[in-house]
Amino acid sequence: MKRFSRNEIVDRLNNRIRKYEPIVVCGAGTGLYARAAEREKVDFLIASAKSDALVNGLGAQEAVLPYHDANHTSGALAKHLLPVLKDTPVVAGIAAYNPYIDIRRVLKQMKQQGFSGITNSPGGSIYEGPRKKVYMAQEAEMILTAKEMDIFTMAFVTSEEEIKAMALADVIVTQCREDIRQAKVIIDYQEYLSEQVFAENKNTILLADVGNLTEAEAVQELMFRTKALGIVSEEAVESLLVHEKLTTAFEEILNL
Amino acid sequence: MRERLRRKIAGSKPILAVAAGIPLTAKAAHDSGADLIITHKEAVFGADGRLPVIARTGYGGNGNDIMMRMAEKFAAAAKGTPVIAGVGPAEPYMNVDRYTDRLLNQGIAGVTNYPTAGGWVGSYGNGIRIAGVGYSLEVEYIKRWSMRGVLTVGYCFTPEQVKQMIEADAAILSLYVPRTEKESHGWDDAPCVESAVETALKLFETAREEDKDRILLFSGATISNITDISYYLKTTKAHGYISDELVECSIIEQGVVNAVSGYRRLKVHV
Repeated sequence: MKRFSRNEIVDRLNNRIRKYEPIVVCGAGTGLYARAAEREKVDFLIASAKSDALVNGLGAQEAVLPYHDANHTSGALAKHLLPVLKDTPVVAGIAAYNPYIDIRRVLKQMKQQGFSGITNSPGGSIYEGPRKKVYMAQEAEMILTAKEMDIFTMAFVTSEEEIKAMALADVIVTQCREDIRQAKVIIDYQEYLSEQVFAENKNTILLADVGNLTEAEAVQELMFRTKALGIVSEEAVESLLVHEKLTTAFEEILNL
Repeated sequence: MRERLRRKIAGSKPILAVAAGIPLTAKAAHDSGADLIITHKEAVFGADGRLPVIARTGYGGNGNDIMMRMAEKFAAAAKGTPVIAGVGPAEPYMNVDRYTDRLLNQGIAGVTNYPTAGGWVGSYGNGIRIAGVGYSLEVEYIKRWSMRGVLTVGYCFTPEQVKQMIEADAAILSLYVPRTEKESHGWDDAPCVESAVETALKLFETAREEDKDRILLFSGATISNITDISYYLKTTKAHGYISDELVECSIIEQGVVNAVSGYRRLKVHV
């Protein structure tokens, strides 16, 4: 149950970069997911309401429905994930746009629980309209506050404004809208975002969000086109694979 | 439900009950057309990357509380496929029948005695038995809820327990095939495959003598692939199989490992 400092995580990522190895970041919704991912040498894990939704058989989008407090859900993952990990940092997904949170307190709490960093997931970018700007400002404030507290930060960005607002995060992840399924659109959009990110700071540790891409070739193309140093998969693909493998295995038994 | 399962047996198709520790497994079970979903504390622990047997201790929370908390999520993911919950009737601080009423209100279709004291042996198992807080409570519990017309599954480990669960009118019996030496957790005698089957066959014989129409599923056994399942189905002539947390966990693990190792092989733009 090791805690990692911001520097330790950034050093880890830089080590990968130096060796031209991809940075791999995954979500984990149970200790078993975390264990399996650690065995495959994931660089760090995300504990978020999305990872919880997926192991509950829901879609990642359903993580933001108002049937729970997303921050409570991600916080509750601490006891499931942290004790089974030996040498992998876990980053907590925080919905910074929750109107009832005092971000400094939440960050402190997450750190006390044993998380080694934070990210803006679920993010307010899925919403439209005037609130969107407010949500973005709250997320940017969270990133800055975490930075001040020397907590590792990763920011998902979906627009130029978000890139500017959260440019100070240790890692930036380009992300396409969740409802988009076509590989081409996902890759094109993230390529456009990555250009903006590098225009802001060419030394950014940039990762690309796998999102709904399931084909290995498409993920590889996403990496090349965005010039990303690795990928983030907040579990959609793992859960799809798990679902597929479970279904096939059960069907096989039923056909005996 | 009993009728549906009987029709399936008449069509000589195996019944599949899937142990699910996460609702995603319940969803996959539903999608594959499985007949039943069984959830209990051991399955929940397994899917959380813990040794399932720790579920038999008091650590990590009260099994009944965990079932209550997860019930709605499992029922929602199962989309109508019946979900059976593992209830511990030895619970000392609440009325387990009122608890069960609430559990059924959350969308649970039936109950089972798992985790169970039925497999406990030695002086500890005897102590529990003599104190009257072990398997005998489970039998009474299954009997009360079978009488109320709720779908019940009785886990049995000895011929004596098979008789008791038939007497209690459990709709489905889960007959245990001991795990073999390939997979012992260090406390049982870890028999070879032949003697594991022999032990299980005694349970099946007893069950058929007591009631030739009872629905009999096999559970346990050391299973690493579909051939093993087919082998145990054939040798025991069971009506079907209850997959356990070991099956669930190895598949989940494979899924995650495949996905992550795929990402590891990605090439970085130079």
